[in-house]
Amino acid sequence: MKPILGVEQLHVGYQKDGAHIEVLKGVTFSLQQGESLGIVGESGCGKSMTSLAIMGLLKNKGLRATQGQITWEDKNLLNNRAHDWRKLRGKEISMVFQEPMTALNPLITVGNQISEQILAHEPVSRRAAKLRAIEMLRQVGIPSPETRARSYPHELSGGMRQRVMIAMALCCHPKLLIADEPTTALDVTVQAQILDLLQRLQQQTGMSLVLITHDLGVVSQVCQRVIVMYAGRVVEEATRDQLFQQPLHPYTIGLLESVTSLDKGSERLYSIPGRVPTPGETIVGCAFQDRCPYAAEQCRRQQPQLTETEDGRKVSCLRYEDITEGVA
Amino acid sequence: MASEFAQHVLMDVQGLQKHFSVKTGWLGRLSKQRAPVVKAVDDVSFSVRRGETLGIVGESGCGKSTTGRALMRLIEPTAGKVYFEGKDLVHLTPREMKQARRQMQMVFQDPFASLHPRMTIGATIAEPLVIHGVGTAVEREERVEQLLETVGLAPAMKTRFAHEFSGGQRQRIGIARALALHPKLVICDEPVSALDVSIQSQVINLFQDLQAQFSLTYLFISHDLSVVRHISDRVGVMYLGKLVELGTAEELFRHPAHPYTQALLSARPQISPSPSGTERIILQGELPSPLNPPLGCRFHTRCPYKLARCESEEPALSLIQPGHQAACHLVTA
Repeated sequence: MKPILGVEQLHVGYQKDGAHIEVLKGVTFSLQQGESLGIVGESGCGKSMTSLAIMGLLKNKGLRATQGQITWEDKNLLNNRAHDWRKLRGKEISMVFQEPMTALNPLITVGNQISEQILAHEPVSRRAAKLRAIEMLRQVGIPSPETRARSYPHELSGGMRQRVMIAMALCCHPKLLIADEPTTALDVTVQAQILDLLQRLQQQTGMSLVLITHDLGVVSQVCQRVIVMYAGRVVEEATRDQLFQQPLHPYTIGLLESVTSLDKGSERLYSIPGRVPTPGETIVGCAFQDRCPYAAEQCRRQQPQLTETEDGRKVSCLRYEDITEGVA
Repeated sequence: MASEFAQHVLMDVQGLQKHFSVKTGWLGRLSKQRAPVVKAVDDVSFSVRRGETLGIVGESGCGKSTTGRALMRLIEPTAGKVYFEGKDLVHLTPREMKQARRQMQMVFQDPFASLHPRMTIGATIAEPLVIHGVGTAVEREERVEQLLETVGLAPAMKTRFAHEFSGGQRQRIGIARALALHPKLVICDEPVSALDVSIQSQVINLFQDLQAQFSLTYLFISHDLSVVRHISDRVGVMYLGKLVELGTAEELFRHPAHPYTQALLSARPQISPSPSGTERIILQGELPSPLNPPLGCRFHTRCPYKLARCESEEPALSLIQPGHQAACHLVTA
């Protein structure tokens, strides 16, 4: 089946003091219709940059895509002009951000913010748009939506605001929803409600979902397929089951081992030594070499490429076969 | 008996309360209504044993951070007693309290906000020593270097400023500062929440190493259940200003008694190769406003097992098993 979204060898960077600093160094992945894909990684790995690139929001941050392409329905989004983006954003591809308070306009009622978006994309009357906004609020589980539509963002709790963001993102029935850390600012019990809601809406509408998060638990709950990013590159791609049963990349292995869990006892945690390289740092070879317990001579010379394994997953490590076979 | 108790218990908290009155402005004063009161911490009692780690978990607004600060008297408790090695801290004069604070130090959540941007980190770590007049300048210098090494930083870094460090390193600096005076108790308020997973595990390990090395006692406040489970010997769960359950980590996580604890545990997204077979408990509704907490059991508005008496009668924290207390009519009945 042809993927709905294809990202190929995407390079993104910015200029600083006359130097070009790359934050995405050839990101490649694709997404099928109706699929839920998780993008995980720690701060600075480029996961949010990837979503901004898909939404055409790089310019606002002073960033530029220098190479590669993003294919959406046979068109390269990187060639889009401002007015193409306006037609696409919110209509075909929508996004939910981490902090709902900064993403909502504090001076407009939430009902009007949602109907504004409907009016921007569809030839409907104001009244029809308003009714649809209320219906959307009902669908995302907001109690007494008629009254709530007249509320301003500050009158709502964090969980409710995030529900409003989701209602707004889904009001024009997008084919793809990108959720960037949608529950990071929320408490666990509210987080469970929002994740449940996202999954339910995805099943109802058949849309595709890209969930960006640093929380491996969230990914394992919601996503069918996962990509792991490190220092601007995809280091591993696998189905959820494959990834959590047998991670291949040493970074993924380390991440999974360093997570505290309710089942593990209180034995000493594994921790990945060192720190994430800062953008602009030039590293010859694999970016993970200094933190990798398996790093060998070749890792310091050669940049590993994302390669497909026998069972259809992808990994970017020169030594993954040695590691899985226990030779390393 | 009493002396034995005192030997094991480092800090004993009895009926701690912190109420904040909400400012109403002149119109509110004119109308002569009583200013509304937020009961951030309402009648919380527990004790911290020597050498243990007591974890306090709860969601935002449950009063866990207020509890931590009230114990240090960084905010004055409204009522209650806090015995530290047998002395009631609440009634100490400011001068006596300053002395008492040598024994108890705090590590804060935000490593970006809790370090002075214009002080070198050497000066930051030496500050508690200066305040308490410990040692000569040369001795303090030595102590700073020693502390930096203890927390895994190079002593040469003491001349640098906070902004030159990453989040994990800054948290190490905050820990070094807390350890400067050889405290007995360290209150850690969300010390790893702002850190990435791989850095989080480094700092958690550091906390455990330091505890073993200096026989420290921790009060570890966090919203992250699995972090608390990992590091704590005993755990208390707070909801809307109340302590609703308290027990050994092992027992509390294996057999959570309070419905809120059960919901919290079930809500946490767990890493599992396939979605868990057991049905997750997803609480309906949101945290009620602490300005107007529900009568009776504060959890009754969201509790799936609510009884009639839960709406009117407040359950007290009572023993359900040796080493395990809960405040719920269902388990005590």
